[in-house]
Amino acid sequence: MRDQAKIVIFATVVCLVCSILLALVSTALAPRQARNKANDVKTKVLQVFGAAVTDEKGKLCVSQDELDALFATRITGIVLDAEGQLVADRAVETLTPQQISDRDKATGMKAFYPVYVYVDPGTSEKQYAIHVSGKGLWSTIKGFMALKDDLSTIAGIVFYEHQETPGLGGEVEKPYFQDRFKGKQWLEDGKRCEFQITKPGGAPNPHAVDGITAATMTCLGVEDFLNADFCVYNRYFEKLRMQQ
Amino acid sequence: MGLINLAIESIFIQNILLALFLGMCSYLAQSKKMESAKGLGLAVIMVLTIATPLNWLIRHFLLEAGALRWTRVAALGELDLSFLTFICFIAVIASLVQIVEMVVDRFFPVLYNSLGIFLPLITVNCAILGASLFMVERQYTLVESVVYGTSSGVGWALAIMSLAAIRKKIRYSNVPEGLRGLGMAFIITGLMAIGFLCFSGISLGK
Amino acid sequence: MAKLRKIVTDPLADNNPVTWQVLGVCSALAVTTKVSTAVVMSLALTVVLCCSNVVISLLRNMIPNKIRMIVELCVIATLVILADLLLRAFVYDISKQLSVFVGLIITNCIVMGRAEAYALQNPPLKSLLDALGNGFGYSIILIAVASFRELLGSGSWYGMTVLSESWYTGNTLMLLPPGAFVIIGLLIWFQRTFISKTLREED
Repeated sequence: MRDQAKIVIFATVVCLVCSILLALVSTALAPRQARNKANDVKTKVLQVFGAAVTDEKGKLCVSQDELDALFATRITGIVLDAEGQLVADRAVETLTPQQISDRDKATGMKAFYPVYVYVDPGTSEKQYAIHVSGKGLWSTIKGFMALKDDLSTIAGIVFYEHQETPGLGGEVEKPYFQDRFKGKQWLEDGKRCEFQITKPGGAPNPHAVDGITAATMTCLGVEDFLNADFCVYNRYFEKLRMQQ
Repeated sequence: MGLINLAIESIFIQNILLALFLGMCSYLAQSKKMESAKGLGLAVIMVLTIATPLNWLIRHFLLEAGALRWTRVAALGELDLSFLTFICFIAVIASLVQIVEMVVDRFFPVLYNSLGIFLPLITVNCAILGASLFMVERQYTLVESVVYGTSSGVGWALAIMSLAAIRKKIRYSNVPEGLRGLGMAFIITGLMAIGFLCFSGISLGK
Repeated sequence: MAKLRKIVTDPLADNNPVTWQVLGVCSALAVTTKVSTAVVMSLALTVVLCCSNVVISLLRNMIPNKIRMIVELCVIATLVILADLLLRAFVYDISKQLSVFVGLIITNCIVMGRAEAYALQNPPLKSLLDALGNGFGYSIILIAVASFRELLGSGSWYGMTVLSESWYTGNTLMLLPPGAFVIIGLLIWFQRTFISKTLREED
């Protein structure tokens, strides 16, 4: 009986110590982690617009204040719902990662679709960045795609979160793959067409990029979610194009 | 239809052992004899079938952000305990394995005689924890997680039984000295994995 | 002193946890497509292994025998989560590369195996040395496999191009799971033939 009591007490103490320790550390570090995450999004948005905020190794080369200032002065965010309608009373900063990347099981839609608008300080040309995310082979891939003023030409793409196999599907994070998207078109004669990721070595196509060798499944996933997400954004963009 | 696809996918296309490398340690150590391979395979199927949905329930009703809303206590409603995911999953698996062992011992003595010694080994089998983590990552529903757990287990059992059969045959072959045993087992596994790669060409439709 | 040194050097070749005891192979295979991830994973594992061995060795006279497995798991899981939280707060870039692999450390049989087989019977200092030795033994194999896979698969090493793309086409099979299995098999062959002095009978 005494043995059993000892076991129960020991187990309880171990559990208590472990969980209290974890809870303390996790609460203490939560703000730091949240700031890291927010910074990462800001950096990636600025990066996709081609603003020089990182050195060639991908390290941040501006200070925290500069980053915040850059983001605040040059970028405005707008929020769309799953119908492509403007949601006036939400700011992009208030959206949680789940709201912009988890798809509803039944409809395949996300709750909100954020758009970032960037005004180039030199040419005062406008660019738009949309949030794209979806399943690759193993994991959810998340990224931003920047579009030029015509809302069709791709200015850049950045994937900021994925857990694909390094060296295979993981190559989506590499600049050589992301550079292939630059200058490609979403529209053909003013109409939206399916964007494709094709097997390497095909004829040049303004609406397709070469995929990654041996990562066909990842590329299929990327192709699917790029098209699905752009389809929603395009409803809003059509209205913008009419105004232009 | 979706569930059948999920089963085929996790048995063949994304076999938890040959494509994801999970559960390698006990796979290599216990594949010398067909008997033990069969026993361990069955035990893994059993534990995976129970553990995956159980972890789903724990995650869904206790750990996720806002998961405690059912308690109707305002202070608990917004709590996010997901940093405890790993430790809860592994604790559930460890205690589940012990409970299964006791239940099997009490009610199915015949089964216990063949499975008994393998059950404790399963606690440290990464396939079990791996399947639970993948279930979270891929956002399966409760029913899907049952199917996923079972079929991952079947895939694992299939792989270990095939290896045991091949190793039995290879005992009569003249393998170079240093390659005997473990080295050869790895190379055979490599060849089996190449075979399973063929399944990735299957298109399952949506 | 010589005895203590042997605790560290023994697992490097003669009694390597990966090639002799078949421990920790799962993660050894999954993270070896690139040398850089293999290095980070080796470091993370060695640190967690050292901490867990020391903690368990300190507790060894208190842990009731019946629940020792669960207690060990609990300690290891706590350490891994702590490592994960710290990485995410202070070195965010590295933590993003590591995200999947950190979880894999919990199920790495080396950590559990050393706790069970060594730390439960030995004092803290010896356990620490044992952990260092096993951690390095694991790292050697991991980095060796990753070197072969990255070199043959993508023609580079630690991200630097070694075999120029103009005449070398990467062998994708090396990046896929089967390549890892075959390379480990060949490494074991090499090690058992040339390095390990004591050949044991198997099968």
